[in-house]
Amino acid sequence: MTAALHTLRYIKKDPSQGLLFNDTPDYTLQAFCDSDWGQCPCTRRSVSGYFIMLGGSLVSWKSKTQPTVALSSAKAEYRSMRAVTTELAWLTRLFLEFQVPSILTIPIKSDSLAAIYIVKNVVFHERIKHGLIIHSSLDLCSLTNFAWNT
Amino acid sequence: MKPPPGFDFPSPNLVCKLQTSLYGLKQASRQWYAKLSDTLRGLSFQHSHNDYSLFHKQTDTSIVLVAVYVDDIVVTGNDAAAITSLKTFLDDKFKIKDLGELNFFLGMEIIKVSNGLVVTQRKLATKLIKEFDCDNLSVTSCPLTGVFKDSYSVEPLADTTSYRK
Repeated sequence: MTAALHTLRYIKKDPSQGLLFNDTPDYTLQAFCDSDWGQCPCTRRSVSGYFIMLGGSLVSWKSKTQPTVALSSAKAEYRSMRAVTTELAWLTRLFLEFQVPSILTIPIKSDSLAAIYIVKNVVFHERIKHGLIIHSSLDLCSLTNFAWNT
Repeated sequence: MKPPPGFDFPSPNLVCKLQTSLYGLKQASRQWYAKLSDTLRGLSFQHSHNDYSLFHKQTDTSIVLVAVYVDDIVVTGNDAAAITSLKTFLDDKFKIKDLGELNFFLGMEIIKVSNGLVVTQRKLATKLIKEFDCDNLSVTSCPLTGVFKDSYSVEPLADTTSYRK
C-alpha cells in the first residue's frame, strides 16, 4: 500500500503527463531492452523490460517479472532480448500487412555485453532459434531478416 | 438467465428456444462480433491477420483502418470519402453515434497538438489522487525506490476491496 501511494505521489506531480505520437513520416523501429537480476526479495526472480520506438514515438512497452529464476544476469538480459524480439516479430508482420515501407534491420539495444555475445554466437548456441544475422558494436546489436520459429 | 419480465411460463419445467441473441447472454459478445465482422466484410474490409479486432481496406493509394473494441470503434485512414461512406453504412445497420474526432478511447484522452497526438490518462490520474486522499501528500520525483523492498514481508491487507474495482 505504501508503494502504491508512493506511485500516486509521483503521478500527482504531473497528472496530465502523456505520450507524444509525432506525425513525422518516419517508420524506423528501434528497440531497447534491459532487465534487473534477482531483485525480487521473495522469489529472486528478475524483471525484464523493453520498449519499442517507431520513428521517435513510443509504441510498445512492457515490464514483467520473468517466469523462472535466472541464474546469471546474462540469462536475465537474454530473456528480455527474446521478449522484445517476439514483440518485434509481431509488429513487423503488422506493419508489412499495412505496406509500411521497409522496416527490416531493426536495432535492438541492450547494455549487456554477455547477452549480445550469446545472441551473436549463432553457431554454437542451440537455444537461439530466431535465425539471427547480427552485427554488433559495443552496445548495439542489429537484427536482419529474422525468420520465425513457427 | 431469468426470463424477461412479463413473460409467464405456463409450466415450471419448460425452457426457451431462442430465435435471436439477447443482450446479457453468454453468447452475446460472440454473436455481436460475428455480426459486426460480417457487416464489415460485406463492405470488403478484411481482418488483420495479426490483430483480429482490427479491420482494414486497402487500395493502391488509400487505406482505411477500423479498430474495434467491443462496441467502441475507431476509424482512421487517408480516404475521407471512404470513411464517410463507412460511417453512413454502419449508421444504417446499427444506428451508430458519431463522436467526431477522437477524444477519449478506453480511458485514454487523445489531444491533438501541432506536431502529432498526445495520449494521456489525466482523468484516471486525478480520480486516483482524489480517491486515495493524496491532496495533502507531498509530490515525489521518483516513481519507486528501493525503500519498499521490505514491504513483501508485510501482513496481507484485511480489506482488499480497494484493489478489486
